[in-house]
Amino acid sequence: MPVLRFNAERLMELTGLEINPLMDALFSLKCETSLNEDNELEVEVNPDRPDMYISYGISRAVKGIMNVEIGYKGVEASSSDISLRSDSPSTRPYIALATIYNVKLDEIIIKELIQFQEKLHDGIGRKRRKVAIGIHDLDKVPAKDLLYTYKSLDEEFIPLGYKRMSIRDALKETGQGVKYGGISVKNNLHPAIVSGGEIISLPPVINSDITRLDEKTRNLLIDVTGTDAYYVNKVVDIIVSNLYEAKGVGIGKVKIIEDGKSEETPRLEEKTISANAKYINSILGTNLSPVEINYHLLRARLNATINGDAIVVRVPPYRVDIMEEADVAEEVAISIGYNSMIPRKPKEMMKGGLLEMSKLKRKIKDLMIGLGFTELMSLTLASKHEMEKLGLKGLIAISNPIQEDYNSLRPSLIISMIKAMSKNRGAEKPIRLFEVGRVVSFNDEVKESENLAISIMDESLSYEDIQAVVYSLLRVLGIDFSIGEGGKGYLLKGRSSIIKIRGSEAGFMGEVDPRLLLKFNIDYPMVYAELSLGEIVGSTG
Amino acid sequence: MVLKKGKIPISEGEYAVLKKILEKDIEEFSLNDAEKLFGLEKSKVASIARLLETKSLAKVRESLKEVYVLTRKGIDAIEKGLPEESLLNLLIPRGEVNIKEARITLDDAEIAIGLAKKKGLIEIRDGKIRLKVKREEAEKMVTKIRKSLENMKFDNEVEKELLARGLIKKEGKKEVLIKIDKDALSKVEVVYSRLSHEILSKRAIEGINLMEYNIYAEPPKIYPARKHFFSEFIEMLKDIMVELGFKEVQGPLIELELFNFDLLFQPQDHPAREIHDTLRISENINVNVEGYRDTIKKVSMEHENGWNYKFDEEKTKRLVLRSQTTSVSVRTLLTKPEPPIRFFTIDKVYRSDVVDASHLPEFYQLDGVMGDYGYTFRDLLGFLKEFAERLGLEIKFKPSYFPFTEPSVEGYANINGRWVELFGAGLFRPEVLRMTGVDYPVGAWGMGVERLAMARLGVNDIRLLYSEDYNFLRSFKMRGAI
Repeated sequence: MPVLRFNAERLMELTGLEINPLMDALFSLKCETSLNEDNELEVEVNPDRPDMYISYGISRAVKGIMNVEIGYKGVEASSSDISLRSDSPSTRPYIALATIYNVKLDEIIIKELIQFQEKLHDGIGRKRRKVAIGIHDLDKVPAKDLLYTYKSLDEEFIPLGYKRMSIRDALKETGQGVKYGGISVKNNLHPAIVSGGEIISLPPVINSDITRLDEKTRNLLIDVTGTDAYYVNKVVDIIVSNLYEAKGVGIGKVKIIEDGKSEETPRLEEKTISANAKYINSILGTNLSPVEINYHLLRARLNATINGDAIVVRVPPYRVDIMEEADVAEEVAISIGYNSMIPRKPKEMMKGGLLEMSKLKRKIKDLMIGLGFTELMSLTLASKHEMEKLGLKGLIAISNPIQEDYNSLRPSLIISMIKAMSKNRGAEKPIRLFEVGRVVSFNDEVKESENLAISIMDESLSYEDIQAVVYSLLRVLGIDFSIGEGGKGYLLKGRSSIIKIRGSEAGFMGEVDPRLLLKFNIDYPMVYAELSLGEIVGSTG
Repeated sequence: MVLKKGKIPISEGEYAVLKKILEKDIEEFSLNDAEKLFGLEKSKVASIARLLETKSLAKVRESLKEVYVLTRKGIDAIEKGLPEESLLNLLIPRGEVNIKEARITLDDAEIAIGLAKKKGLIEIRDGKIRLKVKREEAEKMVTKIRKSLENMKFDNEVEKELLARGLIKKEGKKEVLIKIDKDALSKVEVVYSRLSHEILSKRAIEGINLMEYNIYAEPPKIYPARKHFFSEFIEMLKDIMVELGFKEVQGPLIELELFNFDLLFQPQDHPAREIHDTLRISENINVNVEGYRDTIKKVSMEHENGWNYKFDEEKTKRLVLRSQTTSVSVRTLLTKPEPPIRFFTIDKVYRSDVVDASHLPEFYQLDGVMGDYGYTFRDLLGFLKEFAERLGLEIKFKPSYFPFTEPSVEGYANINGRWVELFGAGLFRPEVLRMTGVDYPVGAWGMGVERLAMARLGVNDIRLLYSEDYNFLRSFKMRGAI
């Protein structure tokens, strides 16, 4: 979840709240907060609220819930003198722009802008693949008519913070180029925004140094490009709506000409959602009048019109999370306060119950403890290399493992047991362990089952020591079983057997091959049995 | 069963030892000879002697006894051979040896020649050494000295020679001498530390003395064979769910993206679906999804309407190690259960996490759903509160975000004064209900089991829940867990 850092003083100033009430208000708005050593407020903002990735957005939401400012006042935007012709480069066809006037950039807000841009890139922008943002000093843009088009990789420009170089070199030599250079490049061509013959932006990689921001910057040009027209426009809306919250800021629309058609961005479209008071009450378990619901929506900074039970909600352009009536209901619940809603405890009686397998597992665990065995719990992921030492077959490997030790699913519990025994070499003997756990194997199809492993390690042991335990367990469970020759490769031939229930193989037992024991650094004898509980469940007496 | 006055209490074992010693009728003996004299272990004889000494029934004294030990020279002689032995070895094969040659070849030539001459073994004539006696006689004489040295057993004559040659020396050695009162047996009384079948079978209980225990002493260490503490914790959670009227359900660990993501309304380009967050399997396994054809159609439509992108049906067939047990909840909803419904599962989920004190690549999750016509968000909050109370926890709610629930809520529990995130919950989104074909509201929640267990059991490293240490597993202290 994105964690954002804000200057605490600035947030307090914007919201007019002391730190503790501010943190409480943010908690009730889905955000966990903590103050760090640099007196920054770290705010965890849920990814559905990118409009709160900047102090203006946070303050707008907090003021609503605190009744300082309610409803949505809208963004007034007028046409600017900037226009752009788009060739819709196929790898990154969509573009939207906006101009923002009279912005006061101090150190704090520049830092916030960079953070805002980064978090939008990571989340909604899907690491710049879907959406990327460029911010320019409008007054440094060379010409008023811009062009969004493919440029040859041999063309030159000045990447932000570098000397003039070819696009090809910029993709190879700048940090941003290495990271994002592969996203939109195609056939030696790369999308670029051109103004007065100069490349001012190379979306989604890097801006040009020509339009860089500094303390003197007062007017901004925002470019947003991407592969999804809806989110490209939403991101521009989020940016301008937030900066518009600052005093005296003006927004300008940019004319975009594409394929002979023209439109102005930011669109600043308000979606409308039809909700119903009855529905909202039925979801929340409340009994609110439409007027009360409207009051809560205003606190959520949403405007609505009421007609009987019908409530038509105007969703501000910066809210991407309100898609359905249910989302409107949540806004109402948040305004009421989750902890102020009276919980209704379950009253109706219903018959609960465990799975047959769970019941069997409990029964078996109790019997194993009665037989003097202690329960082991281990992971279903294990090392492929170690399992191959035991000759285990049907391993399912993880294609993207994080650690070698956990790169495959275990097809048998033997790997967990032998590793546990190895760890307990030095403990007082005998070691008597059992485990009930999942195993997963692949042989034409994936097979998941619940198995029981039983093992003893002692100074001296023989087949009988495990045989006696298995016979005792199965007989107490009332299971008819028979014994056959065979077993696993890691058990000694002639000192191991297979266990059959209703004629089909349900497990095996015997002495572990001492040559393998030594490979696992075990110099004590070990006996082992494994049973598939799927064969037992349902056949208990 | 009281001790007779004036009698000295000893154990059965001690009584047997004492009896054996006194049977031999020896005035005084050395502890070193205990094994030889009585066939008893030295330590047993020593301990009874010390016990009787405190009751004035024995006298134990130490004395110094002189014994012969090897000198450095003696040790050398054993290892390398006596000088006269070396001379004979040179002489015997050849009959005679030039004296100059002997001086060059042998280490201690002068000593060897002197000694052999003195013993009348050789003669020297014309600068040559010759054997004077028969070869066997000469060998016998030398071997006798050597054997005496090796075994430290010798007659007076040899003793004198070894002393004179500095091969052995006298040394004082400590010895424990024990003298036991001849009437000791009548002055002691056996007390038993353990009751036995033997005692009871004789039915002579009245004549028996039982030892009084030092009840404050530590007993021997033993461990119970036992159920795993974390497994007990999981069973307790299951019991709470069953008490609250929930039926247990289960689903596969290797799961289709359809259930793990798509039905949970996670857009297909959602960061959680990327390679570094979800574990996938190498095997190219083709799963037949024909049975879910209608569901996939609905899923595709809801995604395209809700998230504005082109839904890829192929992705629904891809397999992952499930990252949440909510997949089991949606599988259950697809079976069209008759409302009211209450289902839960507690099972493994997988994440792409490196192992450390708070992360494992797999852990248990508790997931549940409940719903009915007329079910509301307040019912969900009420259930969550009731569940937490049954765990003995105070909770508070925070609005939250999950792609598949709305309204969404997180529960924080007060554990030892700290608010710990306990669960995520919410009402399934209308999109999820439509995709699963459910026409009544359904509340859902999920929580990590390990994290709660750690807080409740006072374990600060998640790896301890999967410890392989036998003694740790058997001696783990249950604290407020059950």
